[in-house]
Amino acid sequence: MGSKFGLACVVCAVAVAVAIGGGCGRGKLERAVVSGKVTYQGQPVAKGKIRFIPIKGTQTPMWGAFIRDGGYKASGKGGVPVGTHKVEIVAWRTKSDVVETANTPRSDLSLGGAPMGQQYLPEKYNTKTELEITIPPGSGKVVRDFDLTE
Amino acid sequence: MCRINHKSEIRNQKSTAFTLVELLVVITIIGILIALLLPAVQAAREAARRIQCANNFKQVGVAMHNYHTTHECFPPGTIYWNSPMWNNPVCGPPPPQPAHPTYCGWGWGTFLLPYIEQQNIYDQIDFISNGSFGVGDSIWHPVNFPITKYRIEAYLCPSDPQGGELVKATSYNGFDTMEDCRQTNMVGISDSLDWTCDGLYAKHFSKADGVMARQLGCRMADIQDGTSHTLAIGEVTGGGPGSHLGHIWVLLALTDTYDGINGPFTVPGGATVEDFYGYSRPMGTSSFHPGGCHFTMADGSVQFISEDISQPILAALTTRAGEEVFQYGF
Repeated sequence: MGSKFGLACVVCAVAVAVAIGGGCGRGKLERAVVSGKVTYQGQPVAKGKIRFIPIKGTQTPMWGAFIRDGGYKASGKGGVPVGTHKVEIVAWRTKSDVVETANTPRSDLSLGGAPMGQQYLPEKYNTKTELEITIPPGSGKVVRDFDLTE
Repeated sequence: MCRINHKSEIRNQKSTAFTLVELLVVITIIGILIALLLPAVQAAREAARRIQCANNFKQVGVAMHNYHTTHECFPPGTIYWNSPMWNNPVCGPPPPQPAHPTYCGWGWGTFLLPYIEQQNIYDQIDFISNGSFGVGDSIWHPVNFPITKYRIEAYLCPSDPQGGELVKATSYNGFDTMEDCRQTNMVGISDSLDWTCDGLYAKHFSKADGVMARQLGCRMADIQDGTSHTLAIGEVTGGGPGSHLGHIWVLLALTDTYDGINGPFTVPGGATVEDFYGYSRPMGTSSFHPGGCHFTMADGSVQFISEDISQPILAALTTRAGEEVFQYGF
């Protein structure tokens, strides 16, 4: 009888501990995974970055993703926070006068860790972006393609 | 008497062995207790590492103020002049020629050495000789290569599994001899905007509205937003153990805050080493402490700022004279 009581006590304690532990989650930002394709003049963007910067009163962190092989998926930490964001896209390619081999220098720290190459998208897609995205609450996964032109 | 003896005999017979069920129950209970305890132990160890990291940031904050007392300004983020890449006037005209062009190449981490009791390292530096690039790039001189490899514990965070490994400084043509420099987990906060402007090269002054903007030498009087509301030094991580990607204290330990805290272009934010192809290091502030990272404010205090901070407020904290109206509880 005594050992059963003890066992019951342990089970109850574990149950209470789990319940308390499970109930302590912080209030988290609502986020949505945003993914899609990025093309420039019909060609897929091979390397680059996409950023979602909160605007118009949206009080959230920024989020983004690397663009690789013409696509992106902003899924880290659960994705892009809900709200309205401006979208900034940069893309880079190796300079035309550099032939890329295994030993080709790819970056230079003294330049801020940036790749050796050239950014080729017009500034209306990055520093003076006109792109915008609004992610409503409860949207789960969002697919947004960017077909960029000259 | 007789009955008592009889009873104890029976008890002795019973307690000579325990059943398999009893054994399993005991093991299960011990297992549950350990499972409950382990996360608590790990959390306690992380808490200890976090305090140690915060202490490092505090030491650097004190060193910054000692530097300010001596030189009447904070150390410049980095002094670097000669790279032709930087003469690309995407973001405006180039700044005036610095007063001491022969000091090119050195970062704030170097200038703080005498103030964190590393005078012996500082004294070994040859600031005069020219390196491989010609005039005014003494950091590229072979005499100074050993300096760049020194491990400065005060600049490292014990929670970073990369552990202050040697990282590739550059593989750019002409700088091949300087491949490995020691990692740092601290960077100066230089800008609220992407300082590369076009996502590629760091420009002279994209906006340079932070305390540690390159070549600035910010004075306390320049921080009109208030020193307790302005970021000076932030925490960063590299590309992970063995990646040899990361920030270095000797040259360009600077970042902008445009990519947030634990943002998408950092390992804690979910990026992988493969993602960094072409880039020599992650972008934005980050740490392996759960939920945010450390900052030294311009008044020398240390704050742990949440990764959920809104980007406009992070930008407002970055600027030294932005005159923004905002509230952020410290």
